[in-house]
Amino acid sequence: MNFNFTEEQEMLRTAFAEFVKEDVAPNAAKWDEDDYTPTELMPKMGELGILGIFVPEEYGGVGLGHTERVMALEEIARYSAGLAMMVFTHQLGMAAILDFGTEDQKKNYLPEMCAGTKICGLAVTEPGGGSDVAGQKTTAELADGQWIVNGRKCFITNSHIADTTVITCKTGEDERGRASFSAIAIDKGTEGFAPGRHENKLGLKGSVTGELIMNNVKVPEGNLIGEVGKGTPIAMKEIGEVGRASMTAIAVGILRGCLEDSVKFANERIVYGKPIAKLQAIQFHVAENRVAYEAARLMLYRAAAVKDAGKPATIEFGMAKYFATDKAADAARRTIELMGGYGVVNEYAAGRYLRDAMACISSGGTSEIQKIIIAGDTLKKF
Amino acid sequence: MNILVCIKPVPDPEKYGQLKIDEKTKRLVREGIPAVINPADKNALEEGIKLRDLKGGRVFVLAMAPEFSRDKLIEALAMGADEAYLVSDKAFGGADTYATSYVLAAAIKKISQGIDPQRDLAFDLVLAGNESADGATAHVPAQTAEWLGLPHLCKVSRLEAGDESENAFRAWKRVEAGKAVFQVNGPCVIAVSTEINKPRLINAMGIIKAKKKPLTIWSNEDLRLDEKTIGLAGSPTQPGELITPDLRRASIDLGSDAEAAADEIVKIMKKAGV
Amino acid sequence: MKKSEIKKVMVYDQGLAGQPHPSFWQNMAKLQRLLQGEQVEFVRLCCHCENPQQAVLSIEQVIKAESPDLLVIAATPLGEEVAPALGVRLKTGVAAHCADIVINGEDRIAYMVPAFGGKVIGEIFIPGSRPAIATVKPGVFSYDKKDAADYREILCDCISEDSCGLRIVETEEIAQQQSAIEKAELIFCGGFGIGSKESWQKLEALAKKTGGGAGCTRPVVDMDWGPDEYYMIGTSGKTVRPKVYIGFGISGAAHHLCGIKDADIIISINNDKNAEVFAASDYKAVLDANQVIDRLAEKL
Repeated sequence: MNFNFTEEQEMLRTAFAEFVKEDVAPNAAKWDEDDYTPTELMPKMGELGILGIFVPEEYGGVGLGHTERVMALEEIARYSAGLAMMVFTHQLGMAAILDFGTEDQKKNYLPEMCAGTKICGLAVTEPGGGSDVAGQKTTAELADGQWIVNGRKCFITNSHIADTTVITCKTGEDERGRASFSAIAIDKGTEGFAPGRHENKLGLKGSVTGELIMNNVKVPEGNLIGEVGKGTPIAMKEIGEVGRASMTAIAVGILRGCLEDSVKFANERIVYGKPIAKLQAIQFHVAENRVAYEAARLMLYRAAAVKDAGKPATIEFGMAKYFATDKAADAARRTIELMGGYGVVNEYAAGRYLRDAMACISSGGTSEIQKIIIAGDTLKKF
Repeated sequence: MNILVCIKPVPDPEKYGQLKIDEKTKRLVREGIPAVINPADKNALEEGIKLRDLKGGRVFVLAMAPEFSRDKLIEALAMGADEAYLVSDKAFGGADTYATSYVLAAAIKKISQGIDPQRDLAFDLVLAGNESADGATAHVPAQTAEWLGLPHLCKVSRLEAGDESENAFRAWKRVEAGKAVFQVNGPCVIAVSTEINKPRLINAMGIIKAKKKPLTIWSNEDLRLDEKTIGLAGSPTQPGELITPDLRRASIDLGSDAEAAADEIVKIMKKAGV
Repeated sequence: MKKSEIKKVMVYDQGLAGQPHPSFWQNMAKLQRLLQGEQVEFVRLCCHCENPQQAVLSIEQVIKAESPDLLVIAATPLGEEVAPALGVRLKTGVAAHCADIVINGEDRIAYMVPAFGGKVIGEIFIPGSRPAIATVKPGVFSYDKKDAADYREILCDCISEDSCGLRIVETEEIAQQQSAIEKAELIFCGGFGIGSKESWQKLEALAKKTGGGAGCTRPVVDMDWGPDEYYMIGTSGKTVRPKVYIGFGISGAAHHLCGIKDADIIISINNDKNAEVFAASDYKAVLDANQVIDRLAEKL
């Protein structure tokens, strides 16, 4: 068992951190305040190799794995969880195309997405629920070599900025009469396809979340991703692994923010003539922030290693996602309390951490959903 | 155009606030301060890469540093350099700028021999950052040039290569009276200041490619320099004690109202007679 | 080198024959004070070649013929290039950017040299080689006319630029909009926190209005907000000694503090309450730099 990153991974982290220091850290608070989505950074992140880091070189990527991908997300989320949300959703759609698309689709879509000149998204959730994949009402019917898509998706990240969105929709019934679903890529500007509501979120601001409305949208038959009727496994695999890995990485980034900010504040804040770091009550908070961060980080990178080894990692990511997001919210609250009055002043990032962490809990499967998945696996195994 | 860029790993200048002098040993405690490529050297590397991309050729990087600094050379390769050389030997330790530049010049000659033994120097240009963040003497570029018998120019804020036939560079530099443009015949040593460009960020592809690029490590067994001419023994200057200057002042607060603070400042100025 | 071993001190001056560079007076006076009571000959080596290679080749011969024990060079853009080159050519040690030159307890000459951005100052000795060379930033040593004493003057014959691989092909004089900051009694200094070109222009306007000088720190130069290195204050820029220094948006990196430590009064404005500059200031205000700049513009 080796707990060290490779020299190459350490260098990648340093390179990501340099970018974050220059372009993310100084602007993160403002993006949050204005709920501004910095899409202008996408080409730069493309050039740095962040967006397509897990995509093979032949499709314009870097050819590394998900360990490196979540490293980049952790670094970004340390300062801006919202930006990390946009980046990973882009990658989520790319992963669906990479894992299930045809050679032509990969060649057609991925290079520009790796370069950050085109933005991608993945839309599954509907007003009826997110994790209830079988309850989806969006439909697609094949007629004259075109899919006619109708329906409405909600709580979709990148809804208003994606150039291409992979949506799941009902395309028929299986032999036992159950609805079967497929995944279809729809490009921006296709007639009848438009974003709807733009949600005003509690946290993860800076990423756009909203509705996608499909009203008799005609999509070429060739835009089908994967086989007809195999849309559910696509959604489950990408959300279950890429999505939850990313939510965990964002939570780990927030945890590091809480840890670093609480230490800095404890050392600098002088009360009764000495830094509050000398007080045991404060030390307890700092210690808990440290343990939460380290534990969540171990779970994240272990799960990523399992995935990179080519093994199923849904349960590992489910556990990591539940633990890390839950601990991030705890740590953010603790950090606010540690800061006293300053904790509730928006000049300090602690309040933003709490809002972002809470938003993480609800995204990519709630804690309850994760626990159901974990329990299902556990009851079988132990 | 073959370009050699000298780089130096230094403790991260953004963390110099954490430096302390050990009360007992009187030596600098730099624990916990990571090494980075000297900032101005990154500008030199950026300039070298840009010139190569414009004119063709290869960029070589050279550092004299402990062997654990290997990763800084890989970083330079990841930025876009083609080959890296690290000269590393305990015998080089404690060198001042005179002895350091002597070793660098010897290494440059040896690298040059490997590229083209027929030429006096296989490089058209040697670039370096004007000064290191730690020692900040700004001596090494000029001294390396002198050992190599090359023209040199420091604090260059803009650089252009002439036509192939010219084998000369135009270099902009602030001088006492104003701004001057120099023509410098190649091969030459140019030391750049940080305003010359903005170094590129390293990208993931660069890091992967860097692993496949040649990195050579030489000790003094390869350079074969007389031990009396290198390291502390070869240094005409010798270090003594270190002190931390005490710059503390009263730090009287002028309050948090801009209007009132400005009034106070005007009062202080009047009282001081300015 | 022991104090008693110094028989000849040479100060290289890039000024014109009858018009020494201000730093010449500073350095000569400092050395004469330091070596008061010793039998020492003081020499001014005057060479006004602006081309560094030409200057090196021209003065090298004179130095060899004169063989001084100590050679002091102003760390101007020219001097900073000439000194290390001479170091190698004369096979001798060079102490860079001395913050002070002192005689220590053992009667040895020690050059006090800043390192790590001025965070520490280290003693440097040049025990064996001659001449010991020291560079000193203009303004580091104060000068009062009454300090000046006798010295012998050598006017150097400059060799032709044709023999140099380095030639000056264009020069552009910069008309000073303001008094040189090293002489200014009032300095408005801008750091990264001023945030824009417009703010730098406001500082220059303040300087012009009050007869003071406008200076800056490294980030302002690198961000291209207007000033070049000529306006930079700190160990790699100028050393200033105004009556009042007002810093706006300056974090307080040690190399900048070293350049302002001789100011009579230091006032700092920065919206970061933890800015290191505050501890080194006589007065501080945790305020937005631009707000205070605008208020001052109204009041001055």
